[in-house]
Amino acid sequence: MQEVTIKKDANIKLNDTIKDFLNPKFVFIPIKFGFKIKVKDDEYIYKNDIVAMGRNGKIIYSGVSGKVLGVKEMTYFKDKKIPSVVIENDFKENMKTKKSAKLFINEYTKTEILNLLNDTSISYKGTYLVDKVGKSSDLIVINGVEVEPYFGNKYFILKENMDIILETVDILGTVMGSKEIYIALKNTDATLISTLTNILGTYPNIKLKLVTDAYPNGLEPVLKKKLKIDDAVFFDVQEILSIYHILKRERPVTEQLITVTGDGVTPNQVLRVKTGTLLSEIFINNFDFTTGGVEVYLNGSLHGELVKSFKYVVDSDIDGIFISQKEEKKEEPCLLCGLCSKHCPVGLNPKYVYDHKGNVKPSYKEGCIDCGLCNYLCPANRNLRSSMKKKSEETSV
Amino acid sequence: MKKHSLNTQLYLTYLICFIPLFIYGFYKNGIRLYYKDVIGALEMFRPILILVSGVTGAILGVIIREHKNIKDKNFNLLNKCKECVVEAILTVAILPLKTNPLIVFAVTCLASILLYKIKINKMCIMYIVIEGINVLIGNNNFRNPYELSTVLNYDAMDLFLGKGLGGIYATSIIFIIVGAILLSFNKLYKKEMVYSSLIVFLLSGAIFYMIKGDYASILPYIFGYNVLFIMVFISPCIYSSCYTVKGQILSGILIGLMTFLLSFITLYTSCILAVLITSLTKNVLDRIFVIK
Repeated sequence: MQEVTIKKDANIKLNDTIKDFLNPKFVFIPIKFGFKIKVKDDEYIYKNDIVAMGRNGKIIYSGVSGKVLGVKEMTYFKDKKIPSVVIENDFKENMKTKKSAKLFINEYTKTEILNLLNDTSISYKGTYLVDKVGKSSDLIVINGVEVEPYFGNKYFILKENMDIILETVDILGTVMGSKEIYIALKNTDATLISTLTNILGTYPNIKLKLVTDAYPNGLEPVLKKKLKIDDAVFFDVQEILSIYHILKRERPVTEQLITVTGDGVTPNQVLRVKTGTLLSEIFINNFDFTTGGVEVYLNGSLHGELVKSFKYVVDSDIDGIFISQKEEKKEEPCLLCGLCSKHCPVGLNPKYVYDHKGNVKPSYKEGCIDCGLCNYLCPANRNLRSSMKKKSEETSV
Repeated sequence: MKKHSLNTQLYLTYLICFIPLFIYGFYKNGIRLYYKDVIGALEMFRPILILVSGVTGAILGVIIREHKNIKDKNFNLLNKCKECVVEAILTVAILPLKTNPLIVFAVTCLASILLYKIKINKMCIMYIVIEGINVLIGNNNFRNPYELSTVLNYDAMDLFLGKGLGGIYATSIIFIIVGAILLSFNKLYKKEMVYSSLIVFLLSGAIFYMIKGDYASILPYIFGYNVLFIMVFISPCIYSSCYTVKGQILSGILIGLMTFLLSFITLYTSCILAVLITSLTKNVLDRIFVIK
């Protein structure tokens, strides 16, 4: 596999600061399978109140205070339709009083941390953090490498919270019995590297690991290869920040960062939003589009999904939106350039799978990380990624 | 995100690499002959005439092939022509100076019309057809009039600079090497194939002549007979060679070996035949490395 450096458009530049959009009119809380709704229609609900409870003891909390309007089926990333409790925000952020948290997060014992993570039921991209932190591992890797070239969530989290990230990571290392902790960054993130190296001396078990600014080094399987690691528990910087907030406030995390960028939108901005906000509301209030039509990609133009509307609800599966000016992409016959197979990070052959319309033995697609690099590189504009994603049929080749 | 027009870049690089070869070829087979009083003033422009014939033939072929789409608003003649024009130029480069421009014109024109969708190396076919006709009419000598009139005795530097025998624009080894380096920067250039074929060809030839004790033949063998030009410019043809890296390396090894073996039968056509054979077997070679 050969690395691919994405040529960035110099005109696409993120604003220097994070913008808050924490006052959506409505918040949608997905009620996943196995959860029972604990609120009634027209009931007043406080921020951080229980909205639903699962059979496994997991809890879903409200991110705002307001009136429960009912349950409506909403669309989430990858077009998942999930019934969601709709809460009309009263913009008061009313909370029931709760006992105060400990002053220093290093005062928590392992059991207390796990209990807190369990009680707040915090999950990130479908994984409960309590399950991750509950594991023992000699090595923890903190992934600070942004996957998509124009996104800046991780950069801003690290830039604004380097101290607390390191503090939390250090505690996690103790809780998980780790001998070493790696913080992986791009070697082009000069500001972060300089800040981190200045603080690192305080934490002898935390080491800085740099990777090249190539795509898709931010994806876990690729980062694992780059760092030559066999076994480790990976955390995203967003996860570490969430753990810190839980320990510091003993409350569930209800906010997250998303990046909105591309040559089809202004401004290019990292936003702090309430989890459960509708994308359309974010866009109406914060952004303008360029004229002449745009293409919208959830989670970026490379490994994200092209979508046709802003009907999606923001949750931890959405890191950002890339909006590009519409361009004519005509699929052409294969040039036999071999770029797709030459650069595939997991050594697959997308051209072969595409030529067979995806109907190949599963082994031909096994390990595909859906990074979309084959699509990006293909000079013939072939949608190789879609055939890699197509369900395999057990046909002989 | 905008994609780069990589194949246009590749064809442009081919053209840029061809410029010094063109200048040297025109000097060697035109200007120099005129100043040596071997040919007349008009005859001096014969290398250019053959090149122009090839290019116009290729363009005319594209126009005939695409005549139904020409009135279309989105039709881009330049885009359609780029591949055929570059192929015509590279084919002309390895032809002997005596080649009839009309034959070149007809063959490149027909190739643009008939071989459009065939994914085998068109340059090899064009060359074989033109050379076939040259053999039939007794025009297949690669020596220019000056080389015919004198006894050739070139040292290594002469051969390296391009004084050796070969096609009209394919003798300057130094410019071929520069071209190979420049092309290697393009993502679509199949450098793995080129390097493996060059290594195998050079090693097999050098070892053979060293065992034979015929050291004087090593340099003419390496630098002559268009072999380096064909390996660098013609063999890595994008649509008619293997697309997997391992397939490219294997086909490069095969080209190198076959060129060495076929050179015992035919000197100037050995490499072209080797490229054509690997081009015909590219699917099989790729498949070896794809099967899971």
